[in-house]
Amino acid sequence: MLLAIPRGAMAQPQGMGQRAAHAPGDARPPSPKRARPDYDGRPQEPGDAGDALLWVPRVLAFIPYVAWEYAIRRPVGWLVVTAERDDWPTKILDFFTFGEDRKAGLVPTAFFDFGFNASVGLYFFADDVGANGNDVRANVGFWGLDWLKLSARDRIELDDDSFVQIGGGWLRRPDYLFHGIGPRTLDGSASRYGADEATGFLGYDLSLWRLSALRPEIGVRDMSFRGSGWGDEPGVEARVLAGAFELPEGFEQGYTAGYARLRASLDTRRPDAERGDGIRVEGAVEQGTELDPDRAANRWVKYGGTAGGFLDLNGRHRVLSLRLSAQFVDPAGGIEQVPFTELAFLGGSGEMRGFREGRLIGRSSAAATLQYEWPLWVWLRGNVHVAAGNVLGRHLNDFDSRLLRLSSAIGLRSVGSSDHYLEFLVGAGTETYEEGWDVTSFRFVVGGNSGF
Amino acid sequence: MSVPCRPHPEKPDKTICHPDPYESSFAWDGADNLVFRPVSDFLAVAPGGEAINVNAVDEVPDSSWFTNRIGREAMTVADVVAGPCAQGPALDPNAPDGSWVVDEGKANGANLGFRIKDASGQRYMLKTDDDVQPERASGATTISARLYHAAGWRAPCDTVVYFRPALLQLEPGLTVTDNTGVTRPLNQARLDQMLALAPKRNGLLRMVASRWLAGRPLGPFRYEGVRHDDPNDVIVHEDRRDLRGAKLLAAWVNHFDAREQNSMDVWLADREDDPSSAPGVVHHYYLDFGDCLGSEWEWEGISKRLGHAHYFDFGYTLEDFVTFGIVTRPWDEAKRSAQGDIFGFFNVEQFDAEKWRPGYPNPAFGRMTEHDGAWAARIIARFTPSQLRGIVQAADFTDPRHTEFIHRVLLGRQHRILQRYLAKLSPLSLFEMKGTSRLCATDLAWTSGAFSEAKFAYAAAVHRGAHAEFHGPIAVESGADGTLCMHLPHHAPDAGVPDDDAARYTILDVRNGQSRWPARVHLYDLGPKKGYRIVGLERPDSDEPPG
Repeated sequence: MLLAIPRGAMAQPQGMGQRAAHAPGDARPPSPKRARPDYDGRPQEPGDAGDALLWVPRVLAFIPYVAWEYAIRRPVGWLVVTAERDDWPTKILDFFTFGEDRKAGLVPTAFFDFGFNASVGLYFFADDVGANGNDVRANVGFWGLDWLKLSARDRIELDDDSFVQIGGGWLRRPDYLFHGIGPRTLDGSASRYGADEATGFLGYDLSLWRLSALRPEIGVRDMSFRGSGWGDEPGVEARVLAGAFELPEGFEQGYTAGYARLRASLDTRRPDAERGDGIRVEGAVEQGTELDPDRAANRWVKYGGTAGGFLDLNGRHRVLSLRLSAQFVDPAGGIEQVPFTELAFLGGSGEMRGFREGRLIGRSSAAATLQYEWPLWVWLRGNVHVAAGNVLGRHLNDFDSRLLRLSSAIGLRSVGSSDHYLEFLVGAGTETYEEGWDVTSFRFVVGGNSGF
Repeated sequence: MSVPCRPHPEKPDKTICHPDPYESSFAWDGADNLVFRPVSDFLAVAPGGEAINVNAVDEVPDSSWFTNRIGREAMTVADVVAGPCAQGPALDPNAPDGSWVVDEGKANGANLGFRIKDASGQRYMLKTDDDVQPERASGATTISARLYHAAGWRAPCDTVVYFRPALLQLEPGLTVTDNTGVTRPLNQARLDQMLALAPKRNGLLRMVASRWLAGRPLGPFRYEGVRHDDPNDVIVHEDRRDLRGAKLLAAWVNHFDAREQNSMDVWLADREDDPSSAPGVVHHYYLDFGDCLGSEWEWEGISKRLGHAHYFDFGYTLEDFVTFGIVTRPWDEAKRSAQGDIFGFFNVEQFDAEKWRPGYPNPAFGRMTEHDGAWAARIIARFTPSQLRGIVQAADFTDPRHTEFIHRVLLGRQHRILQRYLAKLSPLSLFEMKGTSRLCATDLAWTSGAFSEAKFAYAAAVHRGAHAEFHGPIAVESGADGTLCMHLPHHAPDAGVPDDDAARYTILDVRNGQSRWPARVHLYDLGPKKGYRIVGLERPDSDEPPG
């Protein structure tokens, strides 16, 4: 392609950026839009096959483009611009926060755990209530009239390393899961029950060396149960009548238990350290006692612990950990009865998170978990785990490798606040090796502030 | 040019004849560029192409956006240091007490400040540093404004100033709005609070004085589309090479906050006594360089990522999620240096010119092509170590090691930019005919010192005629100062053939041995008397021969 000899300056558009010499008061009519200069004197190159082929995806994406651009992007843009111009964020903050320094406020919450009711709610926080270091938290959640949650606590900082907490709550849910007790429960024997739970507690938290801590607590827990089904799954009583399992201890009458618990942990990891290496050993013991004189004088002891090692693979918080955990529950005081909701468990918020809450309950449990965590963003970490374990009979006495189940999950979780967090998790769990390790349990969690 | 006159929206007795001011939404600019616009661009299937405002010699003509300065003419150290302050009034810190009248608070932004009017009536915005990184923001503003100006972009006259507090006199009834939107009175107590944050030297306060731009402010310019009420604005901004190439300037100084709110369009009326009158012209400025040279935020995790990732980078987050974090990122290893303690994580070691990212995506930066990058790199290559030292010294850091640190890091980052963007497309530039047969050029890769001398080996080949037939090699003479020259023998007669006849057409491919591809010069051989005439310069990105 031959270039032409330019007649004047090399494609220098005229009059650009310079004030013209006009006489004062020289009123001129509005200027029309300038024609685009021919910058390089070359004719436009003809399109090639690639340009023509682009029309295929362009046509295919036309409708999604129009929908996105005109039904989403532009309306949202108008909304955000209006919100900023009219200062909606300040008005929303003013509505949801209180006090000159905004030390108190309300935060909407939502939580979804596949296979259970979703919940929405409000989380209330108030710092330095009445005095510095006195923080109040409250949570209201609901999903219809049969899913209600009320809870509150007051945390009083004694110094930089310790605080006292007092609190309580009430939770009504229709969708608790029960498959029976012991290592051989099958996913196909799922049943549901409703429960009302009222709690009160007084606790003390003492931070020790690095991430080590001591946490004594006393409290009371009142439980009552209903055998109604939920969704497509039958109620517990229906399964009992069908002979799937026996009615669990405490289901019929409920219980009111006072408890005293001590948790202690020794953790060599430093908070905010450059590396995530370390070892953690934690143990807990809890004694529970039936307080209602009209019920049998049950007593039980729960105890157990976890030992884990953490290895930062490259010194950049890519942490591989191996945890071994065990829980035991023994009746005490001569009566061989422990309410089923006080038994050892796996899944839910415990180990083997590929299983849903309530799936695995027994007199004891053991699990080995290999977990890997890595940073995704400043306040977001990814995690994946593989675990083997199961709930078992008394003191793991029926342990058999053929009874092991597997659990795996991958997800991400926000970090930074112990009061509230966001989480996304996808997981799965299997039947026992004896049953062929079939993957029958699925877990999908998304949301924040599932409880405290 | 002129725009329609109309009544002032708030003062009916006044008429305005300039384009409408544009009010940029901070939240929408961020949200749109992070989420909505990328999806729109993806669904529109409109891949970017080469920039539009590029002339036949692969350069950007002067305009209301850009003026060729250091890229075209050598500048002295004094020239680059004077920079945007070379013309116009200067703030006099030796003026009598009370000469600087504080007449307005600074509305939000990372650095607190206020506006003053000096005895001559000239306005300046004074901004203070924060107490976490004293002297950094004021120094960064001073340095970056000079770099941008020398490179060719418009920047305000920003200068570090040391002054006596007694110079300030506060007008009554002023207010100032902070970043949360809360408006408070700007009274003496508030002013004293701001001044308490300012670094001090020998009893004098240090702040940066930004001279008020002449003309009528019209709000920021957008990095996409055009201003519909500016008849001169006919190239969509995302396809302007000057806006695209500014990405490398931003990368150089880590101007991660290069968003539309940190720019300004100004209407310059022909009548200086009536700034709202027509005719006039819109000039486009870069502003607010206080984030440059290692700004740190309250959260160290964010500070480490500035310049390496967007504030929330969907791409990297998704990539890290599916790869389980096996890729080590620059922020994993970011460390402060003892010498550069006030400059956060600004360094050379982790700087990757190609992977640099602003806080959130910028439509023009995102469309920068290899040619746009090479153009900006050729400008950056023209800055000499002495000029950089002069500019850094204008920041007047108290501790000499800070001056040394910034000079070293700017030099290092400059070299990284050049090692990336002068490695593929040819860095040969400033081609000109000296006489009728001698073609000379400058090798900016050589003059920059960013490459090993052993890489350089010059060669040239001539092609002639309508079909660019190969006519053989041409000897290249190279000098120690980076200039190279070639003698072009004549094949066409002085007369008898039209000047634009295809027989006279000559294409010269010149290689320097360091870059991957040659510079391709297009000429007409007008004969021994009239000589050769340069009509074009390409920088091909392939090994295809001409024609």
